[in-house]
Amino acid sequence: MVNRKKIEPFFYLLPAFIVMATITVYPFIYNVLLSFHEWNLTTFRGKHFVGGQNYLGIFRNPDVWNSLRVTGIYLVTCVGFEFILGLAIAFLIHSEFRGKAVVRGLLLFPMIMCPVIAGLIWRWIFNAEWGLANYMVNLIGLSGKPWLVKPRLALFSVILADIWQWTPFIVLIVLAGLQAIPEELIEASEVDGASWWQVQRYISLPTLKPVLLIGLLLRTIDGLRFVDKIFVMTYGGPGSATSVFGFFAYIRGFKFFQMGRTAALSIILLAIIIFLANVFIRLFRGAR
Amino acid sequence: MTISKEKMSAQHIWGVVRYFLVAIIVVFFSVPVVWTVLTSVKPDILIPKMPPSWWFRPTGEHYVSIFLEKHLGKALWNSFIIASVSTICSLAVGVPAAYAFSRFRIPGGENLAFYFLTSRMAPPISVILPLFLIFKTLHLIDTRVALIIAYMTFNFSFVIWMMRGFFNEIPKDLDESAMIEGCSRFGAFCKIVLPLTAPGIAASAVLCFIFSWNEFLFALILTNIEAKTLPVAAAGFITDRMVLWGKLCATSVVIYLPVMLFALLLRRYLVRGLTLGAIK
Repeated sequence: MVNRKKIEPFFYLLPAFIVMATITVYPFIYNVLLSFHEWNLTTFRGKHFVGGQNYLGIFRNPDVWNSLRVTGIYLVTCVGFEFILGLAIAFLIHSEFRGKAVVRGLLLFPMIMCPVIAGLIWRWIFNAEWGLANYMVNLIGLSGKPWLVKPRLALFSVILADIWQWTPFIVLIVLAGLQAIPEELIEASEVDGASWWQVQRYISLPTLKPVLLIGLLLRTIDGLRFVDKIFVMTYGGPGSATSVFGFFAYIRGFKFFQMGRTAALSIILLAIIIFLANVFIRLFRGAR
Repeated sequence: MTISKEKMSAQHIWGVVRYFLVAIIVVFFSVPVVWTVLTSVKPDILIPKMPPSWWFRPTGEHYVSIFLEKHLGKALWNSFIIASVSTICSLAVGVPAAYAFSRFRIPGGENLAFYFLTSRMAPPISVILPLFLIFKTLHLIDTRVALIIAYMTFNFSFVIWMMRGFFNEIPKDLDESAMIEGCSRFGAFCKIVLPLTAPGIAASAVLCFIFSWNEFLFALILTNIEAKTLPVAAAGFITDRMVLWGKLCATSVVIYLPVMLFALLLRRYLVRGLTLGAIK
């Protein structure tokens, strides 16, 4: 009987372990080993061991540094704007007004759109000749711009598409956080003479801290994993102006077929993500 | 008197400003969606027109054409099968594991559960590169099985993490009292706990389905023709010479519609799902 109790959990866990081992652990080990080999699928020379050369090559490659820089700019701008806008919108629509439910419903739609479709639609909006962006710009009386053709504008366009898709996510989590604040608390502080700012500063923000950290964690990870929109909006271009790290790795692997090099790139990206995730989770545990 | 009047008018102005701001927000976030839907029923000649025509006689030609000429039905079927089977398999494996994490004292359980989660955070390239090479040797490229397995890498860890949260909300006493009444642990799990977590299971299932349904990169790499899914088919409307915007938008609507319905049904769980259960 005792014995049965001991093995009982494994009855529930075993399928998960088997699946985990075959579809994630085994490929991961395969990937790590691959990163120490050189293997180009376009040549007939098979896989051969090269030690840490792939990693050394990556650090010496200016294109890698460029893609890290692009990723950094992209990530900080996107997450920054999504948070500022998201917080502002959440505070704006938190209070009661007519049509609140409709606005909240509408906000769901961007973030559930297939990212690659969102990218395609935004590519069209930014089309220089017959896109909506230039139409709007002309309406205000400015001249249209070649959005996806100029390096800086292209990065801006991709960032805007991402802000469009993910700001609602921040709005929704902040709203969920705001709803968790007991109303009596706010009423009591107002009776005691606290101003709107003081209420937000000393009651709302501290309560929102864990929510914001979770949002930050998820948006950062997703930002680092991000490739879909780049794929259809700019394909990393013009030049390499929008070649974020994930996209850069994809091109190495599935356009140039440098398997070992790509494996090394993907492991570096994974390491960055795990490092950042751990930092945020520490912060989160502290905030709770 | 005067002060309260000033305060009144200040509040009045703020009310107007707020409606104005809300209007801008609504326009910004809904225009791309509205634009897509409009273009999907816009005649081809009107599509590249500038200024855009917002008012016209709608046509169903793009929808007819994507199914009859572009054989989108097959991609639709592929997407449906792949997303459903991957979801079902992930639930079958993930739900019992989540129950174990919630109910048993497992050495290193917390770390283990977290370790499951990292496979969801991994960059797609680090998952897809080894899978591509493994599937290539197994001759699984361009089959639905390959994508079902690939989607399970993120779905089943998601199910474990989400369902653990839902099981934790159900008091342990409940299964224990059922066991005292003579149920086995497995009986209590099936007859008592599972029905109580049905909404949670449904929410997890729908989210898994949406994640797979919307996925692009894995599908692009692992399929060519036979197992091609909807997002890849949509991106295929961009050719070197031109973009078939009408067809592209019609396809987008086909992809978007079920997800929209699901999202409305499951509004309550959407935030919870998208934050991996961290925010309820």
